[in-house]
Amino acid sequence: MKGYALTTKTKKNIRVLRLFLISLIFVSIAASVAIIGCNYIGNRNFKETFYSVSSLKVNNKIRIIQISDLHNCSYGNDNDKMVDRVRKLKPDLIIYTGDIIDSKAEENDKAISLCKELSDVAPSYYIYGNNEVEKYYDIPLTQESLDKKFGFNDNNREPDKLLELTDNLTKKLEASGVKVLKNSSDTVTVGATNVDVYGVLTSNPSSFWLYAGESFDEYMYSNENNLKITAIHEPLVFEEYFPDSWGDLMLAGHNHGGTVKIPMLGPLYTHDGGFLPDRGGHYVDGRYEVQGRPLIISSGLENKNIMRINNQPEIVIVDINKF
Amino acid sequence: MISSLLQKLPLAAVGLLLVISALTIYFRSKNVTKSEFVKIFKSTRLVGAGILIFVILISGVFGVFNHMKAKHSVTAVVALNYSEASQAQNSNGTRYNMAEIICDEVVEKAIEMGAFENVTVKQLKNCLCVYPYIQGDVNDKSNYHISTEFVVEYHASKHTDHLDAENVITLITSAYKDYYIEKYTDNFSVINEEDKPDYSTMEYMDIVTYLNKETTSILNYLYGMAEKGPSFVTKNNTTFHAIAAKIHQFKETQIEQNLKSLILQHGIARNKGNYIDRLSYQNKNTDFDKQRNNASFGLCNRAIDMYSEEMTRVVLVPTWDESGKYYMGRTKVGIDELSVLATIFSDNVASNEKEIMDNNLVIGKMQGATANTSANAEADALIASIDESIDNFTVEAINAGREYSNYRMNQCIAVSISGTSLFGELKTIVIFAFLSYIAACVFAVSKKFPKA
Repeated sequence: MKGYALTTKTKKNIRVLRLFLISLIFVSIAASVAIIGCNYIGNRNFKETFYSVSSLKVNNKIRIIQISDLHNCSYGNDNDKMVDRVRKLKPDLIIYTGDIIDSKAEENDKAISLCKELSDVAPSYYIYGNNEVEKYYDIPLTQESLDKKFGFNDNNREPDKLLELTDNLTKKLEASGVKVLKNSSDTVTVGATNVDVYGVLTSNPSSFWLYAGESFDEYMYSNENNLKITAIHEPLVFEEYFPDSWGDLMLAGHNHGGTVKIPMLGPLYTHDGGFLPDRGGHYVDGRYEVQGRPLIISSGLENKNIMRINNQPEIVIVDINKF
Repeated sequence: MISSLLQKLPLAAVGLLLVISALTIYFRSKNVTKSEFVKIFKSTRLVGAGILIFVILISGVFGVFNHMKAKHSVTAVVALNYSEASQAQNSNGTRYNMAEIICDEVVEKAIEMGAFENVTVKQLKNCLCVYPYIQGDVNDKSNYHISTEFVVEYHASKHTDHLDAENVITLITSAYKDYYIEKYTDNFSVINEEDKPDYSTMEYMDIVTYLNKETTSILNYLYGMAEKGPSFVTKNNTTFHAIAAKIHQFKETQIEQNLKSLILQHGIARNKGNYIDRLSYQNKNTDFDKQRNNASFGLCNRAIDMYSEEMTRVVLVPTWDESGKYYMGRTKVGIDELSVLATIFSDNVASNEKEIMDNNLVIGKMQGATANTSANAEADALIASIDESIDNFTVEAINAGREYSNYRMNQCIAVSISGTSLFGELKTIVIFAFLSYIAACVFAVSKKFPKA
């Protein structure tokens, strides 16, 4: 009798446990579908992230819009939603921090058309990301592959040789009114403030200093009263090199905000930082302080080939004030 | 909007369950005796698996939606980092008003900066509130607190649900910072405000007066700044006092000694006759003033002589100062007032005499001088050079002032933004779980009641 009573109780417990597990699985599936569905719908639009930065070098308020990692995606027909919002936000400068095109896509018309539309809004600068490099240079811009391509070694390296290479994208961008910065800088006057924008082509840490060091120093140590904005695609360089200064504002992209953002833990994974890169002290997404100056990393705008969860595509708006 | 509705759904379900169960118990309890009632309660399993599953699942669903809704509420702390803030003042010494953080002007500017669509100033303002970070107690003197930190809260409403809460609060605080700096920052227009006069039409001695006035206004500005920041050193390694000393010396040597001496030495004037007439007329007026001051001085002296000796005795009155200490105060009597007036009139007479003598000196020099074009040219060149130097001093003073202002206003307002805390969310979920547990228990009990 005792054994029978125990079996009945056990059976009842198993039934309850099964019911509990089935409910849990059902709720988990429903929650996952809801989360993925909500994110899918949410990711069809981009958010605007505002940052406020101060620098005593500015005499008037300056607004910069950073567009990054679009990967040839479109928000509305020909990105008209984005163009409309950017127009309304009235930027003084627009900076594209790379991967606006996708190396796998055959045509880059959407990206070019976006650049063309926005070049009427404000002076625009374009920095190459790994996708542009992959598509138009055929090789990754690491020290090893560059040295091999040009036959360089530590004694005969000439960084200018890399810059002499021309490509179709640069021609199209320049024709549409966008200035392409390849390990070079440009000065633009916004109101009563002179702004130097430096764009890095060799953003891979292995080649950065060897190929961009000279031009970076020239940019950094001339016209020191100008506001200095350093734009780079891959932020890993900021973890590897420690010059006196990286400028008054640094802009980067590349990481797509870690693709999935877990509440309390942050971004899930990046190629350079591995799992939970934020916890490992890597620069992934958002605002960081590098040598006392702000580094802003955009989580990018790609919404097609990656599963963004809790990580809506974004355009970044940086307001630079005197105080 | 959707997240707000979804968050209310589990709450409504629990509420409904509670109401239905309570009503069931109410209607069925009519046929139940008190002892049966107690028996039913005792026989119900209040920690059964079914109840726990229900509580966990519904709390989980509530937690997810509550987290989604929590994203629509953001808090920012605005900290004032300048010395006057501790006295509840703005940086220019006027009274600080925390309501300005969310005033119409700031909200309007935030809407403009964010290019927010489909929202009015009033609608957005209704979602914002501001209060001191540390409240203090106005009823208890020992707990008075002047807050230098203020909390700004944003809770989205149906009109503002489409806006990103963090962006709203970022832009509100940023717009407030702009508003504050624009309204309360140092004013640099105290010098060089007026257009320059045409020196070629002015009398040389009037130019001297004008240049003196210009340098004095720069000096006043610099002394004012030096009082605010006595130890401030500019990037050119100079201080306000050092710049003021340089300008003061320039004024004494270049304007008073060189220019004025040159003019007097050569009796230079644009129109000698007119200028001498003007000085003579001035002298006549000053002489009248002198006579009046003389008469008043004599009158005061006569009144003092007439004062009775008994009335001049000093009366000492015990009184106390601001810190509450007693001292013997000397009362003023009529003779004190008369002697003060006599001194003033005597000083005025001396000042009038000096003015007349100065004017006579200039008139004498002018009358004795012969036309000298080279002296005129020399004076014009010196005026141009002094004027240029004053311009440079003005720029130097303004730059030093701006530099000091930048140094002082930099980070004068710091902002930190935070969403709803995890602890806060957990607290809400625990309260909800408790409520749903009660509802589930009441439901379980209600099921045990026999139908009528």
